[in-house]
Amino acid sequence: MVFNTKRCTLALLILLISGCTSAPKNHHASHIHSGAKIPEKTLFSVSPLISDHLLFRGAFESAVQEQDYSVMYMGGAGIAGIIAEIATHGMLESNSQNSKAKKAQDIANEALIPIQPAIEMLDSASALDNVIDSNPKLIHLSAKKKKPLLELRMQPMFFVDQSYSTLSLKNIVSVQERHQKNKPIYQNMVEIVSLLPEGLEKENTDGQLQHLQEITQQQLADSVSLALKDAMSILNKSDAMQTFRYAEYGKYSYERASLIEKSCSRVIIRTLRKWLKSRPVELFPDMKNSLEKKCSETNHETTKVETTVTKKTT
Amino acid sequence: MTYPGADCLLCWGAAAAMNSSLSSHAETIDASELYQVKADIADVLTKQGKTVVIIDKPLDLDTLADHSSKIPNTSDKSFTQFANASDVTHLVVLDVNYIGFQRKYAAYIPTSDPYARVAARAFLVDTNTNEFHWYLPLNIMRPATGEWDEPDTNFPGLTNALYQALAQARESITTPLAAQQAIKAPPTGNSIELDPSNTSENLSSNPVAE
Repeated sequence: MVFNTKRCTLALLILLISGCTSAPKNHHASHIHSGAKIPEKTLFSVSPLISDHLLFRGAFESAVQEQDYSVMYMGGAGIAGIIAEIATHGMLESNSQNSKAKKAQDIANEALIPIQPAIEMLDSASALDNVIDSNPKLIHLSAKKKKPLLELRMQPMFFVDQSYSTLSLKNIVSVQERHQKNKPIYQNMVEIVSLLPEGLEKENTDGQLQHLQEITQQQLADSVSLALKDAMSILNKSDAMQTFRYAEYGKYSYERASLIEKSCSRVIIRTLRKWLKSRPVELFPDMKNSLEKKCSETNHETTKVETTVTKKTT
Repeated sequence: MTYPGADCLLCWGAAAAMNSSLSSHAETIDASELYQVKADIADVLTKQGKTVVIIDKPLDLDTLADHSSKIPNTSDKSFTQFANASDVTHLVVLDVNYIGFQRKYAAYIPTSDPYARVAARAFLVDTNTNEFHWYLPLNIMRPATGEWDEPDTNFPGLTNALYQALAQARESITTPLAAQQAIKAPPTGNSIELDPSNTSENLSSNPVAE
């Protein structure tokens, strides 16, 4: 009897402490940032991507599906009733959030149908080759000329907006010592958003493939370039936080962040999670006009970040 | 930070202990960004051709004299002192009730993740008649963006959600006011004062008027 009471009390305490568990979230939305300064002259070998093809998903507003659903199941009297109450509530809530998230993702993925044939032709090997060719700090894993000590890994995921207005790359970039399985020396999430050419979904597969190839390769190259600059601590280190307003999912979103770079074509910010986000100026209504005016006067770029994709697509 | 549903004293204590790090973090957040809405409103009204005077001093609505009237949409507080003192015909008031985080409970048990909340009301009142010409209640709740339980990094998901709610509140106030031509606007040249009635502007430490 004593043993049972102890067991019940322990179970109750665990449940009380944990309360309702949140629904598991996409690893691309989890907190990822760790870093130490890496010397600027370092060379990096690049690991191949896990998938043979670039991974695409439909984009949807995650904040909507992450709302709480707090209906409490009322259990019976006594300690058993309370345990049943908590367990049932936790299970119902978790299932509810999981199924809603899955449903929202399935609906969002339907946006990919018109461009699915082109997506299936985008192979990750050639995308990776392009990334390596575009950055002198990167060399192929198989290269024997120089032996880099550090290895760069990435987990890219592309998100297509429901209205085909933007393509977002969320790339988890990590750097670690070669052949080591310990914690990465540097890890961060870099998001690159680019405008899609108008009417992409109506183009033929060849046209779609060409656009998507250009944009995805540029986004991958930009994300790696940004991550490496961050790892080497050569990005602007402004601590002044402000709330940025930008267009997303057909309305305005807000993000608390610090400004890293502002150019005639792109705005790069560092979020509260230290993630790096690069977005076209066109998506920032509060900056667009002043930047356009400034850029038309000076007629030259002030940025260090390559922005050819935006130029091509706008 | 408040815990709706944690109704007994012991329940509240357990909830407060469970969320102590988030509660401490809430105290460090600077919410003064919301009060920049005064400048936004002044800008909107100036563009509509009205003379605007910004009052920097906070106003405690409880200190105003009570007012009763049979006219609908009339304030239960009297704002006539502003008309008498400075020829102000209308007053825009931002009454902030809550800025912070909340987590729902059923007695001892949390039934939701914490979320950011901004509750306020904004109104335009005629200082002669105490009649509301515009009234906007705000109750903005935002879930954390991504994970919420990240105390080691100062709860970035929830902090961002709070700033999103503050920005959304600012926009919710200025957007309809900018489009508001149907109100009985004062004739051009008459002045409007902007008053932030921030009777409970401190983060999370105030009781919530649900």
